[in-house]
Amino acid sequence: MKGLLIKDLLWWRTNVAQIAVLAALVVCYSCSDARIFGYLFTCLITVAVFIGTATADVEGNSARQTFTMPFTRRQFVAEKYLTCLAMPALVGAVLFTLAAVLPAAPWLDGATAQTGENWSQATLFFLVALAGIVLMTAVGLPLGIRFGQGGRYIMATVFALAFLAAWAVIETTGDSFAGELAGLVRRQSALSGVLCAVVLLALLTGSYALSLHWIKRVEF
Amino acid sequence: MITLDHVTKNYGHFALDVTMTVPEGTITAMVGPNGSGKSTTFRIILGLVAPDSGTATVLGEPAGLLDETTKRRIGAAFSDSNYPDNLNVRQVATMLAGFYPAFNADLFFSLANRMALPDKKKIKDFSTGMAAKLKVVAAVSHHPQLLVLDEPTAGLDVLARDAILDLLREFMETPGHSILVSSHNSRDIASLCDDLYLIDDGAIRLHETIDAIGSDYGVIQATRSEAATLDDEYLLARVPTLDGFRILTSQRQYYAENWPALPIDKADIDDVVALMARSERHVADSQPNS
Repeated sequence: MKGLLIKDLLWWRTNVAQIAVLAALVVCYSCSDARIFGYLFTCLITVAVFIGTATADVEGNSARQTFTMPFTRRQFVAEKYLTCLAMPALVGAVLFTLAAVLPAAPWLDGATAQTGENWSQATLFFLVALAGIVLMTAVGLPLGIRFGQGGRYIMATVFALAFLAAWAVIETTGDSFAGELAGLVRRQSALSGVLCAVVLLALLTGSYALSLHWIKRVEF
Repeated sequence: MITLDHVTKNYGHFALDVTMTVPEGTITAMVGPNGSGKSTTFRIILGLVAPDSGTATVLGEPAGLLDETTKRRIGAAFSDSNYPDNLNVRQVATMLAGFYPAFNADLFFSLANRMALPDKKKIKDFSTGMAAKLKVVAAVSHHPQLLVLDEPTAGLDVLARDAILDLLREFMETPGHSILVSSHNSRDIASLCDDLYLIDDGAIRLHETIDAIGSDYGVIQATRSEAATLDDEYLLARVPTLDGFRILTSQRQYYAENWPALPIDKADIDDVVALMARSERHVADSQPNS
């Protein structure tokens, strides 16, 4: 597993352009009044980049040589889940800590220009980011392993359709549905949180099993 | 080191059925025409492809279930695959050190210098020869017990080929090492290997020692009427020509003594491969003379 982690970190070091894009995203959103959205988005982009290392390992020109190295396919899948979850979570922890401690850009209007987001808000948004990271990993990694680069396009399509469906529901039901849902979550916040965690864990477990099933059938 | 017992793999248009062994302390070559099943056999040995049936064992472990510890004792290289091409030589060394506890960085860089591999150039900018040399250097630098090399000298000039062959000979100086190598270069095989397996159309057609091919094998040029008089016992392959046949035999001396009028030349590895692959008939389970 150590070798796989080093390989992925080396991949990051040699893909300066991707790191530059992420850093630019963070800076741009930090200077805007949408920085929370920006930090959430950055976390999800980080997941997508790590899923990219999986597709490159499975489908690229180096796949055959890579899989002669001393790791099992099970270890490969475990390492991919670890990096797709842990690294974006680390990025999120750093970003939302910054959101809590640093004031917003001085050229923004309103009271928020004088203070950062408070810790409870930052924690809540970090938990939302974690949920997004888990969801994206659970959907994206099996698709990447099974379909290679094509899996990323399938994942993007799946999420686009999910957002479209959510938008359609809200547009159709108006504010009432969203309001009812938000009210329910506020009243049963602990239960909602637990339910959400259970659902995400189940999704992740199923995703991991599917990834294992598919990687065992890949011929290099 | 490696044992394949009726290992089969079916791709619809192509069926593999291989039985072979690579003993400890030997360099075994696998030769055959393009598309004959060499790479598929190597991929099965390294656990990259699961066979449909049969038993494949590598260093005592099933090939499909090689664990980390066993894989660390194997060095592998494929002609059509390389390390991630955005890495340079130094970064490949860093990566290999993470995978192999026995990785010897001093040996790696010493061999890389000897092969004139630039430290900081990315693999995607390497020439064919540089990429091939890097793979072999990487394969030996973690002190494996077994090397599995699929066409390690493909596309290389004479100097680069000799450098790699010298490296492989040095590898074999340590007792208990073995190499399985595939190659289209008969000179490389003749100078390096102990025995060879000829594979054609997914099946092993011949297993012979290199020494026996050089000393005992011959190619008989015969007309149709002359060919009809020959004793079949030591004839392995027969290819029609304009005025008769070219016939491969594993006992040149026997035919030279009993049919002295027939022109019989010494056979080399290229003759063996060409005649066995194009033959009208094959002899199954041909075994080494020794």
